Amino acid sequence: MLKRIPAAEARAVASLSILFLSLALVGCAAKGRPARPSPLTVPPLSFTPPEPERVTLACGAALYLLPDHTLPLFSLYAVARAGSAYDPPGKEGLAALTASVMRTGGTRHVSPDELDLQLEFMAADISTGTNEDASSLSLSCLSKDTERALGLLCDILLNPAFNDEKITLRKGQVREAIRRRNDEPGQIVSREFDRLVYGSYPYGHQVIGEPGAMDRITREDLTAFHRDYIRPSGMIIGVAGDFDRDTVVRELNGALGSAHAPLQPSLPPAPDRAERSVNYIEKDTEQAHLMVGHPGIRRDNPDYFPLMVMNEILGAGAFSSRMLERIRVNEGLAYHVATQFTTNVQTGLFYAVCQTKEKSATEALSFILDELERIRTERVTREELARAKDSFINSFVFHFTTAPQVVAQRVDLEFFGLPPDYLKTYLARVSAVTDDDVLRVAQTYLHPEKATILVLGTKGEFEPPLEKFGPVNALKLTDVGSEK
Amino acid sequence: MFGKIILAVVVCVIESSALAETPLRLNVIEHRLPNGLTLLMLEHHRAPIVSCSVFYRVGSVNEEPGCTGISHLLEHMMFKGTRTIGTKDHAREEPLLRKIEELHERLSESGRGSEDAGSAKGLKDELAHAERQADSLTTKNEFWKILTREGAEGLNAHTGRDWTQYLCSLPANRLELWMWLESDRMSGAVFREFYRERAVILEERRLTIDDSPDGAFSEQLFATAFIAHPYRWPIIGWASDIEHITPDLLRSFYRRYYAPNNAIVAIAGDIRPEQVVALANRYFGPIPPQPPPPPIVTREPEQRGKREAYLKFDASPRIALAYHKPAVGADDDIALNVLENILSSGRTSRLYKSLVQQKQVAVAATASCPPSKYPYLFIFYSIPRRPHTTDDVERALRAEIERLSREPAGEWEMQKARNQIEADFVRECESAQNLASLIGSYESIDRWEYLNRYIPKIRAVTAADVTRVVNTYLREERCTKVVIRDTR
Repeated sequence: MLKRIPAAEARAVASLSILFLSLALVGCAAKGRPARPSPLTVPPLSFTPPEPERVTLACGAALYLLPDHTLPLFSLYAVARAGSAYDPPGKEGLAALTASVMRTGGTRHVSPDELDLQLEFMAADISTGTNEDASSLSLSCLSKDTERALGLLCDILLNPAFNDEKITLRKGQVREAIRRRNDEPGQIVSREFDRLVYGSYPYGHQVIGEPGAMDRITREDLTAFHRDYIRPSGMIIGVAGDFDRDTVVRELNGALGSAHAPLQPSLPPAPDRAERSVNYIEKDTEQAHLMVGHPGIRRDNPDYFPLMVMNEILGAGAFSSRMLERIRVNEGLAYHVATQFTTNVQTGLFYAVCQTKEKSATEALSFILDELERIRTERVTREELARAKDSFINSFVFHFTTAPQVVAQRVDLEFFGLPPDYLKTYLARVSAVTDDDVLRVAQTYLHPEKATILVLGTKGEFEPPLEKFGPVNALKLTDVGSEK
Repeated sequence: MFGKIILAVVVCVIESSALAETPLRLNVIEHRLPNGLTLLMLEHHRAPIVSCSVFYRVGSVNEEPGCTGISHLLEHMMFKGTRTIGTKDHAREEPLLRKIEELHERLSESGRGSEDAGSAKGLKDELAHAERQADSLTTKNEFWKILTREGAEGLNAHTGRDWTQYLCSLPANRLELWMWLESDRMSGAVFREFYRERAVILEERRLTIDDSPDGAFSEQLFATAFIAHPYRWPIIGWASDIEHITPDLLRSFYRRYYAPNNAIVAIAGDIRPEQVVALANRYFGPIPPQPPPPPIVTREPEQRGKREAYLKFDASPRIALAYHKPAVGADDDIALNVLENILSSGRTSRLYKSLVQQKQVAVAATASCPPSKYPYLFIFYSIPRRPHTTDDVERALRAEIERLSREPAGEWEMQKARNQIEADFVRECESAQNLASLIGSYESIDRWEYLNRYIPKIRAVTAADVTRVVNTYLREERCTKVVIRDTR
């Protein structure tokens, strides 16, 4: 039954009030249109970030709750420490396969087809996902169906049947995806870069799997992985939308039962393999694809805030960043060029990525290396620093635009082991970043001299030759075209 | 002075009734400025943000052969600034920009052989010098930097076939700043750094089409399915056309199409409509209207025979079957939307059950029915699963079409489709960002009210309607097939 929306929009309850003051723009409001935007007054923004409630369920799982009755929707998002990093060697893709077939393979109580029929008729969606660190489980439904959908979700989570036919079906899809993995240059480069930087470390292989792995994975592998890694007691769950708090807590406690032995899966630290190399993949393309990088940071690194500011200036801030301004805007060499620090539990990656016509590959590569060096040797300007910090401070409100977004954010923050007051200290920590901090983190965490350089394209066309950067290792791609 | 304002009596963005039967409605407040600009406002008070889009009713459909890609190039150039933004001194910059254009013109003439190599080198040096001088007067990326510094999120633009969208979300207290900047570039854009941006677009083409199997595939599909209508060329344009667009051509195109009477401003968020109207009058109000742009006269003639195209690409096989379908607003298009759901939505859908689960000839098979201003395409797309071929997949797709042409869809499927389409609509209403884009895009191709008519019309579609549209539109002689074959 659809509810009438109250005339006065209810804001989410929060325990802490943050008053935003206008930044940078001062002066009197002009009656007509001012000649420049700078005299425009920005009235203060009164903003109270919605704060979810956090409880611990009987099974040990953390649960974040944020009711929002504006629309008749309910959503749930849950994560387990069950990523591809826990794939056994030779069985790459097990985590993703388990998560996928957990959803599609039915439960002890409901057949796979019956489960799909029920969910799809209700227009409810239960889906799973996997990355290196985690597997996630999501639910979206109309709030009138919450009890039923939640029941099915808990059944999927606790009692997956891993129906054989569905395992076979999914394996077939995975094999086909692996066969196709050299279709797109961007995908090739990203995959090979991971492998070069990580080697045999558990982040180095593809989440979906590697050639031959599907043949070695058995149904017992899936049930064991599920038993060992995907248990409510180790999960962090978030619910948002049109629900009654006590009802949902009661339903989840009832369905998920009491605590089991806590899971403590852990990964060894990633090796610091950083060593300069120039690697090349020959492919007949219109554009060369470049990646330059090395190991990055753990998500919980205490230097995260200065690093975030530094990276924004370097290459993540799009048209406010040095990389894009130089290589795209000034030189016209690329449509896409950016830098990224990936966020992982253990050490992630740092990379600069770019695509440019074949002839310009090495020219663009020089600019990338030059910018990586420049930010390590000169302080960023006052203007650059202020702009980066202001953009983070002023866009803070966008962390809180919908209830599902708010809870998902809290779930992820807890997953990475970040403190409960992370969001409350966010603005102060951004404000505190100085140009000294930026220089220090650039010197500590950027190492162009030890970077893995990977170029895909037709190097006969590069001007100047790729060899200018060092001895070139030509990589041969595993032939996957005939993967059965 | 304020024109006509239709104020909703209940100040809320979305109203629904206690009755389960009444679907969600968007309470868009519409206001037309005297210069013809359409302002659409939707209150959404979940967070203190505003999500703003300007839609210009111009896209690749308005282009001409020889000049394709100009809408998209214009979209890029709109970020380069104006007489005020992006420059330290436009009066000094202007003659330099003109000189750069002149030199480029002469250089391309010399490329065509009318001057010798020595003077070509001289021109290049002169050009490099002029560009350096112009650059020294440029404040790079100022438009972008101002907005992102003030907290902009999702600052971007998209060029479509029927419209061009400029979008930006900001903390709610920056609405006036947005108005200032957007109105400034609606009439005062200056196309500095033109030649470099043209080169950037050629890189974008390489990335998204030339080296992309799906990009090239889609380009081929539209070029084959449409033989006359401007939907046939890619939005980004043909490379040769892009290379020949000049700043003069761009300026004419801009003046003709970027007029307030050809524009829609869609704002969803934490707003007070009377304040938004006042701001719109102050900032957009003074911009004079332009003569209405010319209509699209070319109609795609009825297809009278199957077309096939085989694309050679170093990638795995895939297949599309496309059928001509009506534009948005036609009742048949609504029935085709229901058909799309029955065919393609989820694991209980016809295509999944047959091609992916039972026959296992494909790893994925979908149908799509996009909304558009002019008659468009209903597209089947599928990825074969080895050892099956695109021929196997085609047979299986045809078998599903044939089944639906004979047997009406079951009541369960029909109700499932209604349930899903309605639930998806509710989901669309969750974010202000999405709502602003939604109302603006539908106003561009039809009217925003379409969104409020949509669910009642979906509910009225019967199984007989679905059978009828299958038989009317999904016919062999109206089919275009595009294939990347297995050549490995």
